[in-house]
Amino acid sequence: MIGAIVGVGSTEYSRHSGRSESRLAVEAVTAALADAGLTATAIDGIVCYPDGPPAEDLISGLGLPDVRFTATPHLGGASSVASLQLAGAAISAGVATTVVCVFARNGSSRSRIEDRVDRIVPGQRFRQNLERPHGLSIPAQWYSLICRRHMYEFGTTREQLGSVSLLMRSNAQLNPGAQMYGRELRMEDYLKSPPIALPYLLHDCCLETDGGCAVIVTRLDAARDTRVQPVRIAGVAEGHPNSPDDIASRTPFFETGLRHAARRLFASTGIEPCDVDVAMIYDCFTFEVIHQLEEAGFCDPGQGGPFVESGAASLTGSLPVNPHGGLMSEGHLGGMNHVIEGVRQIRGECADRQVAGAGIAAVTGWGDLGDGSMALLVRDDY
Amino acid sequence: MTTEHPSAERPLPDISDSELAPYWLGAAERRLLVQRCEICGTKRWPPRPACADCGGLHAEWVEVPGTGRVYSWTEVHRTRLDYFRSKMPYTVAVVELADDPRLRMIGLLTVQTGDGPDFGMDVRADFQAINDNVYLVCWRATS
Repeated sequence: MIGAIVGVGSTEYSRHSGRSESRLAVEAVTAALADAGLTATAIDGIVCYPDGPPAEDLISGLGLPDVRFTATPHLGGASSVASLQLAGAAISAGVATTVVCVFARNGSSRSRIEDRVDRIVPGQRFRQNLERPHGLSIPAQWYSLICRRHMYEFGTTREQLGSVSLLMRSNAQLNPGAQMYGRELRMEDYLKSPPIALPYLLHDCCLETDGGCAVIVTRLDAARDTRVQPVRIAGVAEGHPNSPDDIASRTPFFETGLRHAARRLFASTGIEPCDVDVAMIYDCFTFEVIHQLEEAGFCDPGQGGPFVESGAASLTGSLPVNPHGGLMSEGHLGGMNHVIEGVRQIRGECADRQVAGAGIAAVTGWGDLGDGSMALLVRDDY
Repeated sequence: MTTEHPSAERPLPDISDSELAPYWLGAAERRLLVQRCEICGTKRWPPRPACADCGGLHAEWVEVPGTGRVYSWTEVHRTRLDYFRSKMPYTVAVVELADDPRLRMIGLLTVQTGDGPDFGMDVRADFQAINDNVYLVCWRATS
């Protein structure tokens, strides 16, 4: 792939931003432009996030003179990573030269998941007619069905789920920008947190957050002229499971889009899972981390729980996962914060949570009913 | 969180939806119907516009036995649906049909025994009349 990330930026992450999502988007892009040392006029492409501010808000808000490409992926939480693919495709095709991928949401103060699912999740015919009359209507409930079956088939334990939650929280203690900075979590706190949709407890679930994130992608040759060390996008892929509009009837039941995306991505880049230095895994819920570690090929099926419990995913382990604290403890920025953390890890800017010598970062996305995406970001001199 | 909402109406399916209407008509007669491809004979659930196996565009609705086994379940303690707030906790299961385990359905599950649901537990379709026209296919443990 010929694209590179030359700028990343974000707002603060909070429970109540007190400003519009369009304003958050503009602030995040402005921060990313400053990071890149570019002016707004350089942007000629915009990839938006589903249910987020439209491109028009950015064109008017930033005064962009001639935007030539706009697009919105529709993979739920897998959209942030998938947006890198759209940006790269537009650049490769010569449709645009510099594309900004934007996420902005008042997910805590305005647009809670309960409100969003009816607008963005696929298969609404099945949701409305076959699930909601039975009281099933939110991701925690859908995904807990997969989690419970995984616990049965592979012996994944409550404590392994808890170890994911504790890892995200302990990593966030090294990230002053994280919403859960300064708020430690112990296993006993996890175990006694209230039930949401068993097996999911409160602390199996990610946060809801107000904030914005932006990532600027440009041609690799142009990237080498920018202010910061460019981070090369070695490759990006998206994937879709069978029965992407219905979890219950999926066969095989544990198949995700990430399985397909990761297989293609590792094959096309020549990078292998063991080459990856740090992984940002889309942690909407604890089990989804375990599941994606398996689906991406970092573990064998059924080994994700033991992997995390062993400490392999900790900052000093063989594959540090989410040094920033993830959606569970840094904030839920739709995974665009995972892309940003991947870039900053490669650039070596992460201070106390820096993974020493990180040269290859993997970033995954999980969205809707099992759509997946994955990017491999590498240091330019790697 | 567990505030009673006695006036909240139960979320109802749209039984006139063209892709699901035969299923609801069957349920009102206490019969469990699924689609079957008229070309290759593969049964499918939920209903889809074409057969994923052969591409056949024509399907018929056929009755299958209303028996199955618990494949997975969730116990709901938090809901956005007002009607269900007073019902919590309640259990929603994925049931694999005895007739063809590739067919799995979602539904409220009732288990009378004290230990709650278990994997592979035998269940039977429980056609619950919600009003004169709507019969929901719920599940009940048969042990």
